[in-house]
Amino acid sequence: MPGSRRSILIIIVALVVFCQFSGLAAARVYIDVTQPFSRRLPLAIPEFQPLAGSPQDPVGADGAALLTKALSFTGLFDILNPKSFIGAPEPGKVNYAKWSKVGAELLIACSYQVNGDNLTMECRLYDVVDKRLLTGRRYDGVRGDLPMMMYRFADEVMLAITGERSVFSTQIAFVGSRQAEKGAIKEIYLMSFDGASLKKITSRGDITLYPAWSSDGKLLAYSSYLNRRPAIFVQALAGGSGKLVINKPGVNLTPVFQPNSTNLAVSMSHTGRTNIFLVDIAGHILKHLTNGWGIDVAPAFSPNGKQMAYVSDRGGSPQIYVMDLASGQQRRLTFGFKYCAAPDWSPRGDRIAFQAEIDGIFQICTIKPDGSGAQVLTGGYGAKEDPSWSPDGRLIAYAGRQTGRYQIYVMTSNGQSISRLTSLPGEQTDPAWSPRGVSRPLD
Amino acid sequence: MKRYLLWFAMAVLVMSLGLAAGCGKEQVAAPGGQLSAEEQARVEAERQRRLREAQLQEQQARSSQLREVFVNQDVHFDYDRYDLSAEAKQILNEKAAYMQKAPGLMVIVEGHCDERGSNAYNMALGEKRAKAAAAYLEAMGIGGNRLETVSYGEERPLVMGTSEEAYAANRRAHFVIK
Repeated sequence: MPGSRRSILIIIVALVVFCQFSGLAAARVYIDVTQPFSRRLPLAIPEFQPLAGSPQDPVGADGAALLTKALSFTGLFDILNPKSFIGAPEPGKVNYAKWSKVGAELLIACSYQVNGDNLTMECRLYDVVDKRLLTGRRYDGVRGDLPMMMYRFADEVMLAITGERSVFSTQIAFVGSRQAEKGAIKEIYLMSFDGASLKKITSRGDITLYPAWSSDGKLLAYSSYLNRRPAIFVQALAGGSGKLVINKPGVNLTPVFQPNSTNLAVSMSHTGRTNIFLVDIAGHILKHLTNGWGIDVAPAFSPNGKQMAYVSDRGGSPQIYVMDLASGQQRRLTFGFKYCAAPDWSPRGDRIAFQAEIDGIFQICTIKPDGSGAQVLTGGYGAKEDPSWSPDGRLIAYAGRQTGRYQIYVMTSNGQSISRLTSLPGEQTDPAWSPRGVSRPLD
Repeated sequence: MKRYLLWFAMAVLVMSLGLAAGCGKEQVAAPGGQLSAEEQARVEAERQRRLREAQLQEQQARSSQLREVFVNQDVHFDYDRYDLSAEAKQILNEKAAYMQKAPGLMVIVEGHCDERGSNAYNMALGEKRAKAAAAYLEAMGIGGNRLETVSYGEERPLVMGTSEEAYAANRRAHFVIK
């Protein structure tokens, strides 16, 4: 499998003819990302057609299903029911009027060619309203590469529509628990963005919590018990077990990587106060960052690394604070909520997600870094905790308890299109969305 | 019935005569008479031993009961708090008294939280609870080297469930004898 993945990386060919058109894509704004409740774009994905001379093959239906599932995951599209379509487009030719008639504003037409185990896919995205080709790609590989081909094209579609690739090359790390004699055993797991391809990556046999990615997606930091206290570990995705970074007396909690660095912000209590420190990957303390008298935990850096949000009880209840790292200045961000926790700074930099207690139930909220524009994104029964932004800032994963036990859910950054990602036994909490382009650790 | 008794009495008489004939006289307790001095001492010693045993058993029962109380009686906290209530201090006074009587006792103070609130914050809060209880014991004269603290946050609830009672039982400092 790794070999074939590498081969597709090399073989992917952008058709020259398509590239001539792609420059035009910027002319029209499809999705205004600053618009929180923008409407969904009607998109037609008709049946994939065999290229001239190629026989019909189930790969066509499988590919269409994968692409449909991937693109509906973004919450951006209203994917039209194929039953309403009047025939399928011939490869390379589009009758725009016909697609306009069924309500489509966008059309994806894909063709395939199979030859033994070899598979070729040609995919094109059309703007039905402007009657033009937006982007196109040809992928050569083997049948097993079909999901990757579809995810890559889905990212191309997102690039053409939003100006940015999406989450189709991302992983979500989370804490999975199972009951044992001495209580719950918690380990770190990985799954792909859509909840598929589950993999357990720690085997500590103890309570393991708070996974966090490095900016390059190559390292994961977490806390796990060692000598009766939570210590900080860093583990390479490439393989191996976690390496102990720091295990000061007291607690060592909530590690997060500084952007584009292997330094970590960590909450530690060895001084008697539970404050946030900057440590290097060898466990040396570089800086004592926060100065609360009680509990400061859960740091989250702004994307440029200049500011840090965190939780502090210095005002009498847990609230979100923001620290300017250059000046050391700290200010309270959240007001009007009884209890706030688990901040995560959007990769766009414009919002901070957190959990807030509202009528006795934790809900997912976002707020601007200046403290204005607070929005409550979720509601109803069952706590929702630990929000984590997708790397494109369009989606938020969180742990929700709507079914009575915690599972991982995902929604758009304005709280729409909520879907559940995990259906495993036990509980799943504390999702951490990887940066783009993270390859799976080898099995 | 009377005849059987008569036969029985006769048999006893014959047997005791036979015994008297076969054994040295000084070893025989006079039938119905006083126990020898040696015998008396033995019986008394036995009585004393039983008494001591009973006392010891009672003592052990009391101390194992005390130990049980020490291990099973938790110190409780209010939601999102780690200060000690008057009741908590009363329980800690008893813990300190017990530890003073058992100078070799090493204790782990575990801090726990109810499941509400953020996991990370609760992990820090659990430590504050364990530390608050341990600091009180130290103030009562227990050596800090006999106390270790550990936080389990919301990871090791005593009572499952989402009732107020379950939450209250889970917000605790728990004492484990090493």
